[in-house]
Amino acid sequence: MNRAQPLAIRCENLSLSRNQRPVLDAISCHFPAGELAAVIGPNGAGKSSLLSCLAGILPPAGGSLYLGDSPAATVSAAKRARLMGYLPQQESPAWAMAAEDLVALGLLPWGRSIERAQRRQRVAHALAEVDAAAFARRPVTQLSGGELRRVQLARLLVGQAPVLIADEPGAALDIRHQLQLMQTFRRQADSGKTVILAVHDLPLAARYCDRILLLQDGRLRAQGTPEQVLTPAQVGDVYGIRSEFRWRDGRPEFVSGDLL
Amino acid sequence: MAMLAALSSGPVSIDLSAAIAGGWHSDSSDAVILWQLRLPRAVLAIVVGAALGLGGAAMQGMLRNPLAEPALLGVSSGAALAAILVLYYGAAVSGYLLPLLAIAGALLAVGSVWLLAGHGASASRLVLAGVAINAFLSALMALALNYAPSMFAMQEIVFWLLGSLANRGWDQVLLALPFVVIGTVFLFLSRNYLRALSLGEASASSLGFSGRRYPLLVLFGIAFAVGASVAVAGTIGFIGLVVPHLMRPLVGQDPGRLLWSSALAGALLLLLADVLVLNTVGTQELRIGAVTAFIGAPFFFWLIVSGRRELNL
Amino acid sequence: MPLLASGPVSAQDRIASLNLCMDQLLLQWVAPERIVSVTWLSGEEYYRRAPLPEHLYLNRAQAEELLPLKPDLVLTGQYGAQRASQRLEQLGFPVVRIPDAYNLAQLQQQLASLQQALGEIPGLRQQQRELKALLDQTPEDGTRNPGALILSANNITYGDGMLEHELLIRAGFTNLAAQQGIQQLGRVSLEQVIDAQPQLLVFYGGEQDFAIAHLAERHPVLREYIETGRVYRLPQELGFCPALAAVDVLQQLMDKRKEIVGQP
Repeated sequence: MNRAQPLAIRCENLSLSRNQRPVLDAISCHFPAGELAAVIGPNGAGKSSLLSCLAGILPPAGGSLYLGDSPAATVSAAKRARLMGYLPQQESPAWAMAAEDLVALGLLPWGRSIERAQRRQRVAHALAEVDAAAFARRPVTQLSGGELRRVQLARLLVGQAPVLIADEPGAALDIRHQLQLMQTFRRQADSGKTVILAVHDLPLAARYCDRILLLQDGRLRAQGTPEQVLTPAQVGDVYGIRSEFRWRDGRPEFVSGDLL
Repeated sequence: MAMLAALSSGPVSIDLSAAIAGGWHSDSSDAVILWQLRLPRAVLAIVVGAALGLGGAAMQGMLRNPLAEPALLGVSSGAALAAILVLYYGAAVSGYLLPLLAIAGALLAVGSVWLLAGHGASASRLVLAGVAINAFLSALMALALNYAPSMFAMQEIVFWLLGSLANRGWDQVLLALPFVVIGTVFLFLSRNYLRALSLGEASASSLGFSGRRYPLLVLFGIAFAVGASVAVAGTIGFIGLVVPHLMRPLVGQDPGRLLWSSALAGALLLLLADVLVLNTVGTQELRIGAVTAFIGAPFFFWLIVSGRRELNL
Repeated sequence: MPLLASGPVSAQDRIASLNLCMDQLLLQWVAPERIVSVTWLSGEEYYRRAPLPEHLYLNRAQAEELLPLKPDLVLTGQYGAQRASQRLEQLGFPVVRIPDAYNLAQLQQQLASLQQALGEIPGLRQQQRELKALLDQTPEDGTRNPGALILSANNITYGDGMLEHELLIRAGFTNLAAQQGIQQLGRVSLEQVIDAQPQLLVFYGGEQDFAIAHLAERHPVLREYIETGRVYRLPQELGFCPALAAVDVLQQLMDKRKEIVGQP
């Protein structure tokens, strides 16, 4: 199977409510191909809900979503599965399968079109990318939280879908692996993939992402480059903390300060 | 090999090779015993055992819980209640209506469990709802038998609760087989869904298995296979629970491959249980459900004890 | 069994029964105006063989139920309703215990006792006569007797010592179950039925309602017997009240034997 064509995602006036409470309110956003985007915001801002909507897990109550030029509604579930990979915030596997078997599940949308040898190769490659090759055959129930997370990430990457959506992928990881993770996503974006992450870690977001979306109470406060979005005024308003955005050695750097 | 044991077991000693040589249409009493009494019984054991193993594997896969089994969630009781109503109250019942209505009963039971547990309920809540519905349905079964016109109805609750393969012929096999086959096909079609579910519901959804289609496919598959089996053989428990457990380590924890192996192992287990039943002499028929419970209950204990260390229940 | 007789019996007209078999016999042979109460079982469709008059009180074998009815004769069986019958006796009511019948000799005794208690009843007298006539016929030659096997509900068969067995023997059959050494009741699987190859397969009751107990009868393997007419169905009432059916059954079995032996 050849590498898929780059795919941009666009949504217009996306809204969603749960239990009669609005969770997303008329969100319009744009994710070009080849860019690493981060969705940030306080707890309960609607980050996970937005990602779920984009991935097609939750149907939006209103608004429209476009995968490339086609409305998402016209794309079949099977096709969508090949176009988008999704990693939820927290998931535990039901059975004590080997790590590489779990990763192989990421290839299900392609079914028989991938031969066994190629399948094995891609699984090994994905495991290597997340630094998990050492425990490829170990049952997932015997892995630590961080190790399991990396294996799940490998499952996300193995499909090589043009769009990658991950909800707080680095939550359980130590600092080294968090950095590795962001570098992996950066590489994916650079190779033409559309990558959308929900993150809590603002410095990491600032350093690696091309685009940041700031959500608050289900509404999109700001959308743009890290410099545009992570202004001390906006950060202070949304998070209630002092912050500073500066450039060091040509790289963006975000530093958080005290409570306001 | 188990087949040979099954075919050689029975109250009357027959000359097996002569009977086989005699062929299907032979009139000798040995041949009739073999072809019309023992063989259909053995075949039925295989079909029912496979259906139960398959149903158990599918249910455990879908609920992501190794403690699930069709009997637990009311599938068997729903089918049994429907069968009881049809057989004891329905005046003229034409062949296929029985398994069809049993399947409907099974689906209704599962539907009630779903409703009771609520949308998006955790596996443990589903099991709880299943236990409640099961208790309710068993009470209804007893009530229905109590007021049935037939003399023997009330005593026959034992059959409906513990199952039996006695006195069954090709007509019963042919009654259940088409539906078990349909159920098997449904479940076969859903094997990738069950695999994807190993990751979690959200991930499975993102892998292309979203919407109602797949869960319904699995449910209908289980209802067809198990419902038809219950209609002809009564409720036989523990096969659906024990067999997938035993097979899971052998298939690398793959829910897809588990379907096949559970079907085969279930067939074997029930056949062996029936051989035991056939070879046990006593004033009363040894109920096959009692045999499977005898195997299953200790297994269940062992499971819970060892599971305390590993899995989350 | 001591019979409580209060001198020469004149026609009673307030007869009560505490026993199902007695119920049915009364309803069959005695004018309905003379009966005041039968047990509630006779009201059940399964047991009813004779129509049930409206005015009858259906008792549950309690003495106090019968008191207001002032019966002039209370019939009861050998077992069951013991307390009620003892109580009624103490209170001065005429209670007659009719022995149960487990073989033909006891059946004749039962009919005689009944006659003594009730006086001259045409239906009863006729039954006694017919029974005697049938029993007086010399049974057929033992060596050429066709084999018969009873397949009752839940795969039960009847062996030596049962009324059903005696009826078969008297009709000129060999009871294959007794031949295999079965005493009273025994189990018979379908395999054993096929292996024994009886010339007459005897079912027992169970034609109307479905029951798993009768599943064996519906097995396709027995189809041949049914199609060639080599089956006979014993009526249910033979079980709970032989006096109602024994004569007819014996006659029918004898006819069946002629039919079977007569075949080339």
